Amino acid sequence: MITNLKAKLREMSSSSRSNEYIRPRPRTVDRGDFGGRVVEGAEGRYVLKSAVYDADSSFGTVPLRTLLGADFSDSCWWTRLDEAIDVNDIVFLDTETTGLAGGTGTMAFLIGLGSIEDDRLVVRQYLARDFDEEYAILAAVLEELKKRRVLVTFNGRSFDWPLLESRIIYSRLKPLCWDGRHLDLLHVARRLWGDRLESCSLSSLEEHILEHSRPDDIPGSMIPGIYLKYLDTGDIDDMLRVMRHNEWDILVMAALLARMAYMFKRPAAYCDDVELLGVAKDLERAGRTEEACRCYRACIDKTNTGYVRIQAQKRLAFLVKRHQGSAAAMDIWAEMAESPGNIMVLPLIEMAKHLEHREKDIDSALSLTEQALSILQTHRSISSGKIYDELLHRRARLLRKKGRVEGSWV
Amino acid sequence: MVARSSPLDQFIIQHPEYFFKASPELGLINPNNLYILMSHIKCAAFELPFEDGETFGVDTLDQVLEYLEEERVLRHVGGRWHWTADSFPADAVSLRSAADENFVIIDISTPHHRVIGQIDRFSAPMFLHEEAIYIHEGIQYQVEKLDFEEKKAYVRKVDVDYYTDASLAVNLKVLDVFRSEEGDRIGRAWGEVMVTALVTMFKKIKFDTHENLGWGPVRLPELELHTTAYWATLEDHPAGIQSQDELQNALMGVANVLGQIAPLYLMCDPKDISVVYHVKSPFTQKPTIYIYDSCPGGVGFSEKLYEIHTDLFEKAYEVISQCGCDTGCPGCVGPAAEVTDQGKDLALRILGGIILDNQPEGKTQRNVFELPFK
Repeated sequence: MITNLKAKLREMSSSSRSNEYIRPRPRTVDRGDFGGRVVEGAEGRYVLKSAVYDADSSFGTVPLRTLLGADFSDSCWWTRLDEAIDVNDIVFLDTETTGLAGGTGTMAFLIGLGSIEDDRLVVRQYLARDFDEEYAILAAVLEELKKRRVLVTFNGRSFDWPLLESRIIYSRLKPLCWDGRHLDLLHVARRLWGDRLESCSLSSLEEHILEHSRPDDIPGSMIPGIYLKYLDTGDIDDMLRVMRHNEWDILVMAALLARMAYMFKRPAAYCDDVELLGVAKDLERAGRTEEACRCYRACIDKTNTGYVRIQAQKRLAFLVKRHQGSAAAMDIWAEMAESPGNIMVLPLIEMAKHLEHREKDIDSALSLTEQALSILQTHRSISSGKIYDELLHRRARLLRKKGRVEGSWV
Repeated sequence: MVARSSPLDQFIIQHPEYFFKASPELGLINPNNLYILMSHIKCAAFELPFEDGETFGVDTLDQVLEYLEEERVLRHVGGRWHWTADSFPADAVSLRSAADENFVIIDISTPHHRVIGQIDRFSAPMFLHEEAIYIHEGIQYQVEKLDFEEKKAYVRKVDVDYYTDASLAVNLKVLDVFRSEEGDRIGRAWGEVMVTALVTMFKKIKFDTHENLGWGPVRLPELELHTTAYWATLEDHPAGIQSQDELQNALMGVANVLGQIAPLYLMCDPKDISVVYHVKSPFTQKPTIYIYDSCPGGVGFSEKLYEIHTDLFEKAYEVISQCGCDTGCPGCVGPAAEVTDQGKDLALRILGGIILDNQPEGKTQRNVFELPFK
């Protein structure tokens, strides 16, 4: 009867295997140490592999020393954490999993942690050599995480941590709460480089921002398959590459964090135009208006890209208008309107508003309105009919006002 | 209520109590349908590993788990069965059908091709053969090309006043009997069958009047459907009918009526079940009418029919005897052109005999499912 049911099941699946069934690798064989050491604790066995990088080592263009020397004393406005980072109290975390889609059935078979100890970066990797070692690595990782105040990940807010958290709960261990203490570098990276890079993946940032390329790296998308194949065959060659990949990811995170710390601390010195725009937006959001204005101005001075300049000018003008009144923003609007080849009507409208309502300079307001209308008439496609109608309305009102003013002189 | 000429409408108008008094719902599910069970087990194993000795619906769980390990979906280590495939099993489960393979339906009316729907593999030849009219969101599409290998049907919007109905040449073999009961004039059984279906042709049928507007051939490969069926076995010469032709017409009439009434009791779409009759079944050696679940593995319709067997034949008798037609119509046994002038009378004679044979049995038992694959 047993064979009967299995035969039926095989028949059901359309992809019938013609090959003889090959039993998976026995689970009792010596599992090896993967270049680390086998830890046998009360919670079970697993492999722990450590690597230490001293202050003189560097990753890409970023020496580790820069991270050690980074000033995080006034960083909450851009990290958006509840407390300032102490470099000696952070832990980097990156996981490699059995699936990329997530979901409760996805297991993290390799968890890499990085922390600063005695001015050195220590990377510890916890490897579950089969499903039955998951509990042991989760317990060990939890112990290590408890020692640290701030968790630093890349895309860990939506992937790594929720995945680990559900596995921790399934293992009946107690999860940690990182509310206000979890820095996801992906979010910061998107704010800084999202406009410029096609992809904000860790490897893309590594290549374009840190100017480093990895020899013999494996794409992340292949990793689940490599682990499943290793379970089946016991072949560890590719697994060693996965471990190297994981270690690299931790190093990239450390280098990125260092880079970000300097950029946000002294944007004018460390940022290019696009980065200045990103930092300025963050400053503006944090209510640090003066610094934001300085940053926008630095961006406008530095950039050669029309798109970036217009973005910065527009945001700066509105920011200035909000805080210092429309008169203060006039210079910026004028600069935009007078730039060669300008076809934007926004600066003209803003200037016309100010001139009409504050300065009561009806003639100038009318002339700017006419100018805006003529731009729209030449470049019909760039604007909605709504703006055009509003301009017509504005012109009619200005003409009425003008008539009244002239009439009173007679 | 306003009824059209369809048998279902006619039945309801004749039996208003069905509409006004009967329970409005009947949920039928067969959790042990191997296809459904397998999907359940995969999704469950993904969320939390099974432990040795655990049960899930069936006693044979360990065999299913072993099978899944052979397929490299699970891995048995440390007394637990861990999910080991790089996929999310719930993605592969369709709520519309049990089987996991499907055909996609692609609208090519505009230069920008668009997938508008999907249909399971077993239903595809019936509904997606070339020239079929496929209705989606109230819009008619005609199938222009069916790529059977690639499982794609290319359709284009049309506006016509007919629908298409494919004819199936069905070959049914009984594989296993789960329950059965003998009787003088009629016996009943419930079991597992293998249906091979070949769509041979299709008819174009006009809306409302159900007139036949023409036909066309269909050339598609035969499909196998492994499912559950209920069947009623009649005596060798029911109601004294000796002639093979007469028996054939009578069975066709009875089968037509049963196929229309059963969905009312099952609260399913008429297309969810299929009726086949054999003048002399190779399995029972007697005149036999089979009703099988159109869904692979079955969802429990046939078992329910086994239980309401008596009601089914009584209602069939009632429908035919109360029908106002003389010699058969689409509202009862089918048009006389199909079942001949005597068809209605012969069907009534057979059903009359069966009803006399049946004693009232009282209420049917609560539905307890047995394993279809013990």
